[in-house]
Amino acid sequence: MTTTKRILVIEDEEAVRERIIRMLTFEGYAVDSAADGREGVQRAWSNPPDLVICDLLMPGINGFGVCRVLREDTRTATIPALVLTALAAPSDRERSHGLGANAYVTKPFRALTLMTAVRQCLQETDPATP
Amino acid sequence: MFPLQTDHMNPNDVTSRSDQSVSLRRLLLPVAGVVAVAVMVVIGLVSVTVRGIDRHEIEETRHLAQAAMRQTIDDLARGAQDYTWWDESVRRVVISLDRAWAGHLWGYYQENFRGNQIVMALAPDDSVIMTWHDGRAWFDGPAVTMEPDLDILIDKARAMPLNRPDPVTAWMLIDGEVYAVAVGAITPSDPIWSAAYGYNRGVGIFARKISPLLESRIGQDFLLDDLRLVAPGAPVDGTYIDLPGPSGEPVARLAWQPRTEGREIVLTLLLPVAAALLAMVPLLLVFVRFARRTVARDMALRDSLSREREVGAMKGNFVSMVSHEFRTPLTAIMASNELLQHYSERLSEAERREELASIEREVDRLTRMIDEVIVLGQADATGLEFRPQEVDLQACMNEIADRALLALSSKSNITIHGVDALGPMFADPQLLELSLGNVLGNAVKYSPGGEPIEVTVRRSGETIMIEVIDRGIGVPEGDLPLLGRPFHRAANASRIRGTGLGLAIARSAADAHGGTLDIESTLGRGTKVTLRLRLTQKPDDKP
Repeated sequence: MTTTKRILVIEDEEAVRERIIRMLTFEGYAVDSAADGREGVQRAWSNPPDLVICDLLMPGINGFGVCRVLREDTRTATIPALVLTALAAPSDRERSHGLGANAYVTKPFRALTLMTAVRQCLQETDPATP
Repeated sequence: MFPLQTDHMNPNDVTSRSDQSVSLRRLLLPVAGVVAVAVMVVIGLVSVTVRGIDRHEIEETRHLAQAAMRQTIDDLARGAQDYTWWDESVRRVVISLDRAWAGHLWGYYQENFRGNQIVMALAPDDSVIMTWHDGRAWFDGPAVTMEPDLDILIDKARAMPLNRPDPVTAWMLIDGEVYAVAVGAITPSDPIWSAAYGYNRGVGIFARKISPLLESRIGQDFLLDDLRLVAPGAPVDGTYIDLPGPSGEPVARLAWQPRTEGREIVLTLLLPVAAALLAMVPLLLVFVRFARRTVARDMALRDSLSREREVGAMKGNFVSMVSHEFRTPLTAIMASNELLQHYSERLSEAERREELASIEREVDRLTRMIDEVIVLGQADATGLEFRPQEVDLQACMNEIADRALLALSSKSNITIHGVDALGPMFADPQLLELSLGNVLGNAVKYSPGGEPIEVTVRRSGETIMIEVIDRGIGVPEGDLPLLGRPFHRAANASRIRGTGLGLAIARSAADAHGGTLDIESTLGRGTKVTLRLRLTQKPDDKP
């Protein structure tokens, strides 16, 4: 068993954020969270996680900005990023990938979909059944 | 169909008119430039032509004047020749005949039939045989002061070959008058004999005053109506020729004002051209009006296109906002569902109940949003329905305030002033709820510290004015003009839940109630919303 993976969840909607945290915790991850882009970037820089799950539409720095900022800083440049968003347009998906996002999950999401994407990002081979 | 309030979103209207004049100017400038260049070219061509015509006129009148003078002097010379060449009668008259008779008759004849004012006959020894001057005859002595240069002419005349005795001519000043003078040496009846014996020749001198000629014949013949004689070398306004004396030096200057035919032509042309231009003015006006209309149509088209684009952008905005706003509660519901479905055994009983309650809350939120969108859609499509009924405003407002506080579980306190004295009135409680409810809801929502909210009600005639003043977070200045656009949320409101539809609905409701909604706000200090609603006398009155 490897060390517990740390995941940073950046999501402005509290109801959604809390439930993601709960699911990830149940899946055995250590979870850190932020309510907006600025806080998320600061947390990622000060304590780089193994994965960042990020909403796109947020007050202040939005998800696109978070992806770009993370990629531009050496401390966070290689951390995989998973975009979890209500924006379902292909253009938003392409833009996110262009900015270095590794996975793109649209809201509302199934727990299985999210966990599969999380494991892919973390390059974990044995998927645990949620 | 989307709830779009296009009447709040045409800031282009103000600029389009100035754009229009800019475009018109853009169109007229090159036209004016071309016209100006054409006018300048025409003026240049005309002035060159005029100058050419005038120069030609000067040259032509100079030729005419010279011809006139030559004709005068040739005429005189011919007369002189008549009386000196092989003319026995002259010889007889001048030399042999009785002097009194000859002088009188010859002089009279010369003056009245040949136009000469001075006639002199000199003997071969230069003695004056007789002189005729202005109707009087003198004998044996000079009666006329002639310039000394006359000698030159006499010598030249005597030097002429006997078989070709052309008179010699020149212009001379005699007693201050300019005369054409011709001197002919009288050819003897036997020239060969005379030559052989060195016989000197008698001389006939004929002089003609030219001033009367200028006024009469020459002027008429040559159409020079301005001929005048001035001193040699005198400055002349116009043009002139010099009249050479016996030595070749000018003795007088013949001056005239040449006709300014070019200017005359221009003036003659100018009238029809000016008339034609004047006739073109209406055409130009028609052109300008046409251009203006074309530009206006173009601008209107561009306006409507840009409006359409804006509407399109708003629709796109609307779709993405709806997508986001609706997906968020759906996401929360789905997340609760997934927790309950897949992690149920890890949740405590309290946590499971919380998930179910969250689902209920998010469904309520969704329902509310759907209701709001429907109201806005209705407002946009047909306008909200106005159904007035007798309303107890005090009770109605208290109810709305309580609902606003309850819905947001706010600690704020809403105080309503001035409503108790109003009594019953006719209003639409539904629209009142939609307008005042949303305004109060906003006041409560954006006073996160539970700051007190003051509501003041005033009635003035058929209008009721409701002022809602909060001491909440306020609205940034840049957002004020955008407030009331569907889904627009102020920059400082992003952390407070909201759809951005409430104010749009409140405004539509006020509009349906024949009223208005105005917002004043200072960031960080609070907001004042003034709602004006028109009341009716009877339930079926329209606001």
